[in-house]
Amino acid sequence: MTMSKPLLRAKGLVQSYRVKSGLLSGARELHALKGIDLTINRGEIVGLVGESGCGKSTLARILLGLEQPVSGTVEVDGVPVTQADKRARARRIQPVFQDPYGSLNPSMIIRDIIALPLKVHQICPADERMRRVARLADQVGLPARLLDAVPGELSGGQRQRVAIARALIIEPELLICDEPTSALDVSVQAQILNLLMDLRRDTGVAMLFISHDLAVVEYMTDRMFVMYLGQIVETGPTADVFSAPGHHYTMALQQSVFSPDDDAGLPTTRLKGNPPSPLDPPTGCAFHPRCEAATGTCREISPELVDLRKGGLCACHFPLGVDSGNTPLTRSDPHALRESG
Amino acid sequence: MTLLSVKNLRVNLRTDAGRLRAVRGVDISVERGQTLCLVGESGCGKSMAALAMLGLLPPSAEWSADEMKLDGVSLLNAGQSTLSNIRGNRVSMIFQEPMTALNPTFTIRDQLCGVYRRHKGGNRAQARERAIYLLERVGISNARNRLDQYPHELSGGLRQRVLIAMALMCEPELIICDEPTTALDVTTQAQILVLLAELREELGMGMIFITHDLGVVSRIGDHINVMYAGRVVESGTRDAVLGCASHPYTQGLLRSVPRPGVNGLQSRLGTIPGTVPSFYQADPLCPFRGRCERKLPICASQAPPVRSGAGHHSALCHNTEISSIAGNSA
Ligand SMILES: Nc1ncnc2c1ncn2[C@@H]1O[C@H](COP(=O)(O)OP(=O)(O)OP(=O)(O)O)[C@@H](O)[C@H]1O
Ligand SMILES: Nc1ncnc2c1ncn2[C@@H]1O[C@H](COP(=O)(O)OP(=O)(O)OP(=O)(O)O)[C@@H](O)[C@H]1O
Ligand code: SF4
Ligand SMILES: [Mg+2]
Ligand SMILES: [Mg+2]
Repeated sequence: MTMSKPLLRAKGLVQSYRVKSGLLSGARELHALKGIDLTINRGEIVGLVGESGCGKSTLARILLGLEQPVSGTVEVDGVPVTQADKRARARRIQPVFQDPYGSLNPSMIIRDIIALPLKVHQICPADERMRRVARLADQVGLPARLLDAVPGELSGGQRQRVAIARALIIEPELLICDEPTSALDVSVQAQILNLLMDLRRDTGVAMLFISHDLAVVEYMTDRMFVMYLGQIVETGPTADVFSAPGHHYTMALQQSVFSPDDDAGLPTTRLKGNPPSPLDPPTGCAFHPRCEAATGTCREISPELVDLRKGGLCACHFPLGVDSGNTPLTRSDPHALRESG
Repeated sequence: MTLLSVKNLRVNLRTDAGRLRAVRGVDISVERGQTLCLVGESGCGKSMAALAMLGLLPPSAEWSADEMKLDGVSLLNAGQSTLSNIRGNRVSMIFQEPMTALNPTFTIRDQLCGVYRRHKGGNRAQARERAIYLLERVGISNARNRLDQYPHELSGGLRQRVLIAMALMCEPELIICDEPTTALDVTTQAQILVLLAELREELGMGMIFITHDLGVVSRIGDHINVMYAGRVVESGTRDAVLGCASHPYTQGLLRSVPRPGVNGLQSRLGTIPGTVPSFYQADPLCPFRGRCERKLPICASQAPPVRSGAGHHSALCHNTEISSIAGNSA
């Protein structure tokens, strides 16, 4: 018996854009993705976090087939998908984007917006279509009276429900959710997150869940990827990544998350410096200018993504919490690692 | 003496659909060296309340208040020149959207030195020195060279730092920050919050911090006003409001936030069903009654009373008891 194949496997994805920077320098290459490997299993919710501009949406667009990578492959069920299979891919992978305002056609009524993918993919006759729309509206908690409204008459949360219903109507196996709740109030966000959890339980749909909100990623996902400047710097089961982060950037992200239960005051350790420009990436480990544990090695050699623990990978020369010999190391003492290592 | 004291602030906006009641009788009180957080969801009137205090409301707005005192001196009947001397000088603001607050056609130097010379006079060199000092203080490396850059040449985090420096040019007594970190990455947000807290301490300023993020509130607030539909529904020290939330809306908000260490397979998030009421009707009854799970028959017939407890903790609600611990913070 063979292990079941992942639903989606991306290998070595590289993307770059030509951008004009400044008056004198002509067009330059901006490396948005620098070799991304990622898998998503059936029924799994996989998180993707990282700061603005690190390449999350670029990765999402490539997985959706909305743009072509410079190199690298995307396989669905072990079969490479190409530009030619656009329609087949769209049947299996559907997006839910951040902006519930911009992503719906303002002049169409909700019923037609949700039904459109059925029409495009010629999945069922018109009368069956309307039955499906009604069922799905019910499933995502959209009042039936709103089916004849236009997007402008709906609240932000209701519009996001429409976007989710539209994505689900052709029963895809994977939803790519790019910041699906970032534009929503917390009480509305809670409704949408509960809805996505219910949908996964009831339909088994898998998700790539992109967010810059770590608490949301911890709540939603089974496994997660942390990106920094176009690279995966850490991945593993979400619970492990949170309980014992390996990468110094993951740690910094975690220390920047504030919960209403905290009364710890403001963080004493915080990340120094500003995010680097992707046009002018640092040498070696891209994180080294901001890292407390950086050494000469970090400035020169880019660390590989290697095993950190069972099921977890980390790209760091001096990962946190890793015993490099007989000196016991604590997470808060990365320098001890440097000396002994 | 209380630095800023505002009583019964109301703001109406004239719109095509009628008079929109954005702020409906809000009290605000800020002490020197302390931070008051205004927290609530989109549209509850946080920005309008702040803009009213600075006299920066849009032309379609009309406002009134029973009291508005800065350092004990009433601003209600102050002349235009007094007000414009206060604005940007004794009271300054960091806006929600840094790009709209910075003029894209002027360099950083022009913007920073402009405010200073308008209020403090002084010569070019003095203004420039202060600008460089503050840019360095807010963590901008290479401050001298940044002076000649334009806003669009800076990243979001740097722009927000420039805005903070600009707000501090005249050593204000009160600084109003309207969601200064909402558009930023969490790591940058943490840096900016620490910076603001340090500066408040160092300069002994009072601060009003507007946000919808209860996690941020827990780290930076001394006192919290929770707003809903143009009113303050709960008010108290940070520990009282976050630790012993008494209003059903505050409780609902707190239940809807994902907490560290919790996964969706273990527990569902709390939600607040329904939507906010119309902003066009004057309505003395509880604004939350349409969504409240603790609603009583009286909620639909009588205005909610202010229930208060220890340490200035209060909630506007028929069906609550303030059980808070005596305020041990602030
Ligand atoms: N079409 C494009 N042309 C040029 N540069 C681009 C293009 N799309 C993205 N980029 C650049 O590629 C990098 C990655 O962008 P991307 O939108 O994937 O980031 P992100 O992680 O989704 O950020 P955010 O959290 O802000 O949404 C950024 O530096 C961005 O400016
Ligand atoms: N220029 C305007 N004209 C008419 N109505 C407005 C205007 N600006 C704001 N409003 C309305 O006034 C009410 C209060 O708005 P305000 O900007 O104070 O909310 P807020 O609490 O700051 O929300 P957010 O968190 O989204 O910034 C809202 O219902 C809003 O729609
Ligand atoms: S006054 Fe009544 S309706 Fe309003 S919050 Fe209290 S219990 Fe709920
Ligand atoms: Mg993005
Ligand atoms: Mg606002």
